Amino acid sequence: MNKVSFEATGCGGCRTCEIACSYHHKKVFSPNLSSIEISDRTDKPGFSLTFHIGDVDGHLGCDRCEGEDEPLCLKYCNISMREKLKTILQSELPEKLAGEDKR
Amino acid sequence: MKNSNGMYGYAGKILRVDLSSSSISLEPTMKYAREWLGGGGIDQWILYNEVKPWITPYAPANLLTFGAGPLVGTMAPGASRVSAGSKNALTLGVGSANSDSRFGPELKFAGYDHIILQGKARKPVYLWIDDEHIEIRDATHLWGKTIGETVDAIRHELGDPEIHMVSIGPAGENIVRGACVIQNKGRAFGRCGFGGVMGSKNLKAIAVRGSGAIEVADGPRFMKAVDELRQKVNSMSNAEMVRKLGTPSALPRKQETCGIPYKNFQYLALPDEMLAKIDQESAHNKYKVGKISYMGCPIGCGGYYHIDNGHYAGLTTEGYQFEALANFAGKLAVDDPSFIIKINNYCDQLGLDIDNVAGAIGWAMECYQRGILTKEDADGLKLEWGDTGVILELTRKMAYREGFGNILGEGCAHAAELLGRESDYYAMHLKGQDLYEVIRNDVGWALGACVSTRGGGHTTGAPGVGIAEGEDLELTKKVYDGVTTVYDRTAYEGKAKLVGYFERLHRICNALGICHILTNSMSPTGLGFPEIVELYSAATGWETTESDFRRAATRMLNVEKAFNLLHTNFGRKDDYPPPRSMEEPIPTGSMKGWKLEKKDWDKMLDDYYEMNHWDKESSFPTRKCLEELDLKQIADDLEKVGKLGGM
Repeated sequence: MNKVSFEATGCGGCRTCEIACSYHHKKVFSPNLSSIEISDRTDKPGFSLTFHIGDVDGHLGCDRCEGEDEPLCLKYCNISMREKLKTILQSELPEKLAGEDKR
Repeated sequence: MKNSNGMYGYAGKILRVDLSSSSISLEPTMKYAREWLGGGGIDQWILYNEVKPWITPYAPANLLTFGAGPLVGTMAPGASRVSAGSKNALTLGVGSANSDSRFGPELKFAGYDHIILQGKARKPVYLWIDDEHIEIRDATHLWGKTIGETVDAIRHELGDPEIHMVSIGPAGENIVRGACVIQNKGRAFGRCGFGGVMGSKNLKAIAVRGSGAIEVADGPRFMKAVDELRQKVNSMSNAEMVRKLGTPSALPRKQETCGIPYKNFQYLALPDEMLAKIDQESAHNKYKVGKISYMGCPIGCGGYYHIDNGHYAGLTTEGYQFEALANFAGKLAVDDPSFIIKINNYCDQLGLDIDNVAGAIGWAMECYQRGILTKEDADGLKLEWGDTGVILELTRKMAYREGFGNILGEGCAHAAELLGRESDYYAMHLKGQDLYEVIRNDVGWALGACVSTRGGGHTTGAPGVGIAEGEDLELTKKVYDGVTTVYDRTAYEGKAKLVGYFERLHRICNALGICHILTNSMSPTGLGFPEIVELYSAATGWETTESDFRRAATRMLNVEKAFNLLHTNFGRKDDYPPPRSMEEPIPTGSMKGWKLEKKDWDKMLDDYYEMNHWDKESSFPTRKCLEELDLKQIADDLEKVGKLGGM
């Protein structure tokens, strides 16, 4: 599994997390080098969030922000979405990945 | 790793497209960046040099520019904004507009800081920028489509739902003077009529996708500044209200301070029962279904709205700004919150600037009220205040230049000229551009709007902070260059200096790409020069001071002023508010009975010109002023046409 997606409830799609992530990896701002990807939903207002687990299509796999005090996506997330992202990072993402490992 | 042109912060390249010859060329941003900072700064210098006074807005030789400054595409708080520039279709002088965008960061990631368009394509086209791949594509099948239809069709055609773009609607295609350019589906480069300029070039859209990166010179220093400034922004006194309701959160305070242009500026406060009907907390609870925010912004003031019943049931759209309330609840007296959502969306889809739409219709409705216009003049429509059906129909007619809409589409100033019948007194405009700002309730805000080079507007010098309340007075004085009358809205003293502060701060923001809402434009607790200087120095690696910034902004102001002097007959006489503001006392509300006085305005204008080292009588810059700013070329240009200030 190369990527895992979630409904980004409360997200306004600012994509600051994307460039914070690329800064963590490569010290540059570039959504294409990010492990996190925000996509505009086309069926209704809102956004979805995808974590890249492995290095695919130029995106770099999430390393849980190794070496940082806290995950940078969470640090720079807008207040309206921060709790949701925290839950994704702390439980939903690990659960999905664990489920995938068992298969 | 600097970019290939040896710059940090910037993408490094300026893309030039000549639509007449389909030729595409590049030049290094470095050619301009040290002197003009980026965004609106670089745009305006290019326009000054390349658009000659005899060129009309819709001539192929006019340029249309888009510029994303050096902080766009970085983590700098609120740095998503893009400037646009061209000869102003309404004033025929200098033109600028600025919008939040996903387009701006994407343009930078594709490798470009600016796009400079000239010429006219032989048939409708759109520009597709995919990193280094630049293509002028056929847009014949898109001509006639609304903004939303255009965005969907281009994304479908290019096979990527995340492509960002700017485009025009039917109003721009029909070269309506008040047509605007829209970013994606609902953010406008509103003022100055750039939609018609784009339409005159047969250019339907510019779509961009970028896969590159922006690097700053000193990462740790830059990120330290970002962290500090995000914290500062989050603790701004107005942060919570703006985060929740966006700019419409200003409504109650605007009402208290007589800041609403009710019935075409006749009154400056809404009737109480109407205020209750359009309460923004209730509208927010009833209609808001999602958020929208832009890169780097810790606030996120935008919203998605959905209407599930009534006339406009089924509409889902990006929300509106306070301007929409001022224009449609205010100028046109509509008391239905769902209509505000509808008309804002309708104008966006047709590609019309809401300030121009409500400016022209407001003028027409007041003329109708006074018997100057009849329904026979208006294609059989009764122009009654608050009639939503009539407003929608007139808006449609403006976009398609049909019947009476053909006159309204020219903007209220030109429409009044066409109609005659002494209707010009009711045309509320500055330098020919429809006015949105109420300028009878706050002397500083009024001065900023009236001297604005582009003709009105509050984003090139008008101090919005005048209506703030409960702010720390010591901090206020310290932030705003020692001015002690910031909240004394009827005081003239100190207001020239206050406008001078904001003329510079706003220009720096417009050049670098920072949203004014995060700055001290609305509250002294917001970001100011020192914070923005630190971001810029860390990003570009060019150590800069606050005084460097002020000088750079003063140069920009003088370039714009000179453009106006070379292209128009503007002078001191055009820096006065519309006559109504000095003749009619405010009829209702907290400032009932007050009005602007000409002799006080005269004195304040003297102070303003003196501060800028401009000639008091003519308003023209002096040679000394220009040469001290290293703008000798401009002094020579103005001297040739006899418009150099004496002093």
